[in-house]
Amino acid sequence: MSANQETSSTPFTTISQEQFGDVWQIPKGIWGRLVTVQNSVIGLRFIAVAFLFFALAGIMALLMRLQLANPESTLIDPNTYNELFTMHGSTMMYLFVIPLLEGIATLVLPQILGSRELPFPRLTAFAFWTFLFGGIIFYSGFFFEYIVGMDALAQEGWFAYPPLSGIVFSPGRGMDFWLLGLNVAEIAAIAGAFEIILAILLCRAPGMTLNRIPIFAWAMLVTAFMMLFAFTPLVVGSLLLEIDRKIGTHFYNPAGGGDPLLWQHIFWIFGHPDVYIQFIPPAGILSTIIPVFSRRRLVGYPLVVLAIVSTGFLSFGLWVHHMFATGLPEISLSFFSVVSMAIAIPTGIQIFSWIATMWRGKPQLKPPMLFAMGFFLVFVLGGITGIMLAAVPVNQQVHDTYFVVAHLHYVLFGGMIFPVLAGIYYWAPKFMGNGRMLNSRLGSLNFWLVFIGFNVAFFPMHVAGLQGMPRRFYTYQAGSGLGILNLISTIGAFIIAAGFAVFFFNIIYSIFRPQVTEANPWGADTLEWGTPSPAPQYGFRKLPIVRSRHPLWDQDELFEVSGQTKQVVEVLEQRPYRYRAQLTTGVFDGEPKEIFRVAGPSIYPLMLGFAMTAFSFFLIFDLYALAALAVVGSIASLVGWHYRPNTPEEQRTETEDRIEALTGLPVLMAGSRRVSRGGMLLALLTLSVAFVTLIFTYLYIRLNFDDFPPAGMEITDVTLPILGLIVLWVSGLFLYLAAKAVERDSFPRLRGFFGAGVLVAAIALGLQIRFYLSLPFDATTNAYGSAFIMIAVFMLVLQAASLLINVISLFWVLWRGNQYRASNHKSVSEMAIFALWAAGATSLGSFVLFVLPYIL
Amino acid sequence: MTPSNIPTFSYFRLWFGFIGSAITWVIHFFLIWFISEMGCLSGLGDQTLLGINSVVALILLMTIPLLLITVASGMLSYGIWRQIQDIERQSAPDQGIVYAALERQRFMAIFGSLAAILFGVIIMLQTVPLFTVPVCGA
Repeated sequence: MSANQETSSTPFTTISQEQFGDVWQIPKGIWGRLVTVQNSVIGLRFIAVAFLFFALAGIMALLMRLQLANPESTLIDPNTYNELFTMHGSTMMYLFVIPLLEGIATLVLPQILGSRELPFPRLTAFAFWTFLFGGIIFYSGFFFEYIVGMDALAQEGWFAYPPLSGIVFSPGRGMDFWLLGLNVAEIAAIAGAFEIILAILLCRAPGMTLNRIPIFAWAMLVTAFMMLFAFTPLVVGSLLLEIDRKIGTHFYNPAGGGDPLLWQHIFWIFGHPDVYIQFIPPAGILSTIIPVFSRRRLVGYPLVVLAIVSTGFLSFGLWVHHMFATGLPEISLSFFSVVSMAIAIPTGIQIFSWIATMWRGKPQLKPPMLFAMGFFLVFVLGGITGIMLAAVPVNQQVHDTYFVVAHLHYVLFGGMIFPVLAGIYYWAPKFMGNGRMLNSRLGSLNFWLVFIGFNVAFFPMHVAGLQGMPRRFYTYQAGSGLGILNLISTIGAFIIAAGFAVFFFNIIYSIFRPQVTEANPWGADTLEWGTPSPAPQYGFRKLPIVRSRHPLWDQDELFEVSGQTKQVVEVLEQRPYRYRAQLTTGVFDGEPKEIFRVAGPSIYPLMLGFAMTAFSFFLIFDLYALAALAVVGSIASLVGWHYRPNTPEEQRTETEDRIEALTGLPVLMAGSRRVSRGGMLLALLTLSVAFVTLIFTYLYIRLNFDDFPPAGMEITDVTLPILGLIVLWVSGLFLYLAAKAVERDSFPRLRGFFGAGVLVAAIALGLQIRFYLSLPFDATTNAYGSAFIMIAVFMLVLQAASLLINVISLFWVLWRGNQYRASNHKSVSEMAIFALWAAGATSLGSFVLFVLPYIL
Repeated sequence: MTPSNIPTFSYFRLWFGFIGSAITWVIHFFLIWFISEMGCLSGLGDQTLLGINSVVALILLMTIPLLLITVASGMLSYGIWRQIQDIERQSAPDQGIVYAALERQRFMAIFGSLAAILFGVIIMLQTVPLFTVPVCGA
């Protein structure tokens, strides 16, 4: 039967692998490399660039160890040493660990979930470019410092405490490079988190219920949520520090009523969860690997999931243990101390689960398992010193000594590096291309060098710390008894470096002398091993149907099931193939919900990343006109990103109708409704966290004022903002009615309500801007003024963003009016949600600004 | 029991049981932190209520209902777990994919029961310092 003869009730004719795979191919040439959004390419790029930054940070660590190898060494001067430990710590924390984990997730998740692609591939590409450009800005400090001769490298540590990081004590541009460069990279992390959450919740294989989700995916899901809650306050806090420096606000300036401790709170609200953000995914890797190499199912799956989720929650309740020495009330310290100890419970659950799995299985000591074993010793030692540090008296005794340096490296290196290396050795045959195994002998050598080197380097630091050696000092006195300990540490550092040289050599060796292997060389249980090696870009042409937590161990074949799900899978195996089609499934039970078109290659993610980076770069040098131009470039990139050309490929055909008739699922060429709604909700969640951070800032600053608002800064007439607020709610109502008009398929109503909503929103914005411009103070008056204006600016930016999106969308609606189709305008409901949320946030902000000071 | 009459539990019951205790802990944690910081700064820590320090009294007053909510979340999950066990005892073992939803609900119930124990214990542990540490000492 030819394609023309097919009727709505007959199955589709079979198409060739080439035909099916055509739209999934990576575009050719340099242009193709720039526009590709394929998860397999972007994931590898994330990993490669993260390791490049790791190598740079490693070289800096070696330089520091050389300096400390002998007492009173003059190899490196104090300023350079400060720059080195700042860049080393910042690179490892912001430019290595998180991007590496996101890269692994980007690479592995679609296949481990039995999906074809991530739901927002352009967002993934944007995250990569933003991370890369943010890292380049950050490292361009070296160029401007050593070539141009500016003061362009930060020296304030990876935590950048004010007042040291303020303009008075750090007048150069080093902190600006640090703050703005890393902010760009943090935005990348948040974008990546969106993608991971939606992929796991909405794009799993049919039948993959909540209790069948692989542990690695659970770990990434919890981590991604943590990233939203942890990175967002850091972005806000960093911006406040930057405008303290640039504009002269007083958030962290005690002279103006601000408080340096506010930064410590905001920073560690990010900083301590970040430790678990770095630990949970590697723990997920271990929960994947250990059962495979023990030939035994993971013991206590529900307990391990509970451990991951509870670690995510508890990690937000122990940030103050970094501030035990700051003079906070003892009772507060004890609350944080309890949580700092209690978090060992879920960690212990996972460790006992892994031990029990190995105990009941037959462990095979191949390279991935070797690294897993290394993890046990190193991480447990780090955990024990962690419990010690959770005790307030011990913490105060060893605060800022090398004991803490040893602890954090045992936890981070042990909890992250070892499992990640295990994961790379494990997944390399599937994801390195052409099914290449990494060499096993070199892998063993790699392990032993890193393991021995690590312990030689970091174990003596416990002793040095207990003997009182302070961290972040460029040298120490001869005769202090610290020389031999430091020399041993330096030798260890070079052994670690040799271990990583073997690792990189192994990768190169395996590329040039590949040991090609079968599809599932480890006999693993999860879906990614169900595709051939090398895996095609789309992963599964015929989507698997999951009936077990260990599908490759328990299911004779992956597609055996009857009923509607089977029909969906069989239809999707053949159609649609003109575009990259993907399935969304239910959050709880993984039942098929929609077939949608996944976004294809585009230059706009790169352009947007570039424009945003340019904005930060110009701000560093106070080039505000160019920064404004970069904002325009960002908006233009966003418009281009979402523009859908009116080409034949974009048009719906009979094929889509037939797919719907055969599967009973909607075929959405303009993108998934569920993914869009999920994206919008996550955006609102992120913005809410940012707003709460600002309100927290405002309340914290309130503690420094006896009179609040300070004399002369009272607001007496709030008619305009209240009027503006009412009008804003009316505009939200109009947009809601516009969304309802789309549901009722009424174009005239859509046009009318949408137009009215946009017009009224503009009036609301105008009223509020007029009010805030007439205030008798500004952001530089004092900390109250700074906090007041920042909340106001946040509310106005939200409204302006909502208005801009709506104006562009209205233009689109009117322009394409003759091609109106309800399914293409469903996103109006997302705009209505955003507008209503902006109205809600403005209401809350108005309450905080105009009511709270008079009742608190 | 046939697939058609396998019960499903309401989303509210499942989700309250599944994640209710963790969210209750978050609320409790931030409230007691807020009360202790603000109480000590405002001088409330120097006053007494019913013979005990006002900050301690407020925190205890806050803790009791939240602990009860945690217990309720755990009991709800445990109840669902028991009901599912009863269903499984009565039903044929080989019902294939039809039981996927039931398995998922059992998983959520087990998770919720254990989470309530964990977070309940942590809430209780966090009240211990109230009786051992000087409330507003620094």
